[in-house]
Amino acid sequence: MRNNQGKYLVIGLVVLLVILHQDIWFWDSHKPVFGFMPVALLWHAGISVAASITWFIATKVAWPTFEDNVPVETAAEATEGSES
Amino acid sequence: MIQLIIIAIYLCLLLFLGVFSSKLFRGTSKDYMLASHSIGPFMLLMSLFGTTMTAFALVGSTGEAYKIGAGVYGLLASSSGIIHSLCFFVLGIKLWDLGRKYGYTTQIQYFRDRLQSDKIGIILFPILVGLVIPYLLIGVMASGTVINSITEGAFATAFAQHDYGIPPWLGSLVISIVVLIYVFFGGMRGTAMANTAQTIVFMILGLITFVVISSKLGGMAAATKLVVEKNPSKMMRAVHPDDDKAFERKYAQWERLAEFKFAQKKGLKLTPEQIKTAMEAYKGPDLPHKPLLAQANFSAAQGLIKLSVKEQNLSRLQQDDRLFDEATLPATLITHESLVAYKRQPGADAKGAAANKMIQSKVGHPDKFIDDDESKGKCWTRKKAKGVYRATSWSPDKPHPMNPWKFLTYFFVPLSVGMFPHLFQHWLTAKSADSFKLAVVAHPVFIMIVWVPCVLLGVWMTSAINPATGGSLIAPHFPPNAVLPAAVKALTPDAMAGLLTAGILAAIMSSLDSQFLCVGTMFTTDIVTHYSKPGKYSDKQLILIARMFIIGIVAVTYLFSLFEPRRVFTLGVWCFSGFSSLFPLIFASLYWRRLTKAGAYAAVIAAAASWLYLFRDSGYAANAEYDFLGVMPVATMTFLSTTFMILVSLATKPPSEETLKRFFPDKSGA
Repeated sequence: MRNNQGKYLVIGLVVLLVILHQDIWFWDSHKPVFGFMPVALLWHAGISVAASITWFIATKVAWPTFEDNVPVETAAEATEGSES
Repeated sequence: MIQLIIIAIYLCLLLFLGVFSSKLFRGTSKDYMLASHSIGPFMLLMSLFGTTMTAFALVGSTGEAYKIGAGVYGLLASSSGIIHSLCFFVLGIKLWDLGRKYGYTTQIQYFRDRLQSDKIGIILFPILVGLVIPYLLIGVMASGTVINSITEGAFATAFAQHDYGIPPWLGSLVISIVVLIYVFFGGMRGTAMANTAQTIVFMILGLITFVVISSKLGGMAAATKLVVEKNPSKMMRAVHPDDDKAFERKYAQWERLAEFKFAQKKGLKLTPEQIKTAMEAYKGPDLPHKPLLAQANFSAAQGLIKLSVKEQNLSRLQQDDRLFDEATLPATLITHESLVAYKRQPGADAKGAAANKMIQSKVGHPDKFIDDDESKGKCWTRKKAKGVYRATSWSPDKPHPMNPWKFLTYFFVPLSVGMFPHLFQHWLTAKSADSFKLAVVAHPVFIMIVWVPCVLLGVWMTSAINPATGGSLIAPHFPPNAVLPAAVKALTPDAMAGLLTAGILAAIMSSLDSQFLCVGTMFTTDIVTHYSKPGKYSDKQLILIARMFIIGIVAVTYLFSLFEPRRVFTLGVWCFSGFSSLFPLIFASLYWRRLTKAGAYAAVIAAAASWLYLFRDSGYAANAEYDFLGVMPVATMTFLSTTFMILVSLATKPPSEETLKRFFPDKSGA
């Protein structure tokens, strides 16, 4: 990870999404929003959008870096010597 | 017929795409299996998304929303938006990097290397392939159902038993063959190209379907208003008091009907005057079995039905087509809850409809009129006949609230993405780590674009009125898998229905192709090449072996699809649960240095054993409401595999220093 602060921010946002996902406060609400949308559906569609925003932040603050052009060794070579 | 022609043209276009992509094929098995690590961000997003969105997302989500309401989106769609991208982020990129460094093609190669164990492959191979089969089954089964529903009446005389449309077995067979052909021609490159094209097709056509159907229903607000009035519980996750009252009323009516029919068999016969009075007194809806309901109400009110408790129980069980042993019937009156605990006789609706003279007199070619009399309307299909039998004979469904604990533990289900072997293979096709960024960010919103319209359609179908007939569009006890095709068929013009069906099939095929390719790759890489001398098989021979194995697996899946169908959603959840229970293994292998070979075996065995036990306990997915200790079975399975993995790993010798250096290069020391 690029930095620990970014990593913790993303972890925090994911935990928040999981908590918001358990929306017991809308469990027995059947009134539509905007005249057609069940509130449970609208709330969870919002969670999907929030998830995309969270993952966008993750690509900015917590994206891992990799070495380029690493030599490729084959799996067959790598597993040589393992138990049979 | 026009629908059939459009579907045929679409399938031909796909075959052409497969042949075209074969021109780009570099002739090596690596290109065939991993497209030579050349897939960029857009194609990676489309192929990952197209692969994860299968029949489950379109046919399954609509059917499940019809059964349990709008809460189904929270069960799997919003949680998948969080978890799928999490898996791409924490597993996909790391595995891509390791795959690039050490040349992996399959998960098993990685596990063999990471755990320094050859035998882990022997255990994992049958489990992974075994779990891919139900996943394939979802697509194969749904494609047959969709094609059959949409082509009803396409033939004048052929396939009468299948409502003059393409039989499901033939539809499934054709789709399997088409996917096999373009996978064989194009390999991974062809699969990624076809996935991209098909994902675009099903997303655009899906939105068009939604707009057309909602306008046919009088607009979104009008469609929702009907649900609020007739089935308010479908708008939420609790049960609305109005639905509870409606159920009690309908169930009491059904009990009267069951007892009246039982009493008739015992000799009760109303006089013509009594029947006339009964009909005049009847105030209920104008249903096909109105005379029976009227007489049942009259007989009950006049105290003409005199049955013992045992006879009352028998009347309910017989009316609901349940299997039972007369000798073990309870001494007290059975309730709805105890009634549904008895298994229903397989195929009872088909037998019941065939034995019912009123229903049979209306069955025929769906384009012809009953008795050539336009005023009587068009003939019923066999599917409709079965539907009428179910709606007029079986007990009403009791509305169930969604259990918050079950809702929470559904979060475990999308973890399956971390262990899907076909996604592992797709991850390795990426050109660079940055190729993942678009997939990680856009995946949750793409899920929303597909699932929200499907869930809304499913909810609307619970209460929708057919504009052509004025009756209910979808009858009670309608098979959930057929809700989407039935809505498309009833509410869209023929040509558009053909296009929309092509969109549904695109979603199904964009998953089948990756799965087909993956099982072939696993067999050649993890079994054939691994256990033969280096250079024994040429690339050409390996590709041929992969293709033969794929055909074998598809044949097995196809045979399964011919048996009693299950709800796509339920079957999907069981399949995903199996993969999810192995998630702790792949996560620990990347992030826990202390994971040992023995710990990995313990996790795999615990996951497989608990899955088999619980799957059997659920009646092999026949019980769609199954839970274990009030939570989703996947939670128990994942808990067990994690616990055994940790305990056994800690009790056994840590991995070698050399292995740790290879897989945890950033950390110092063992």
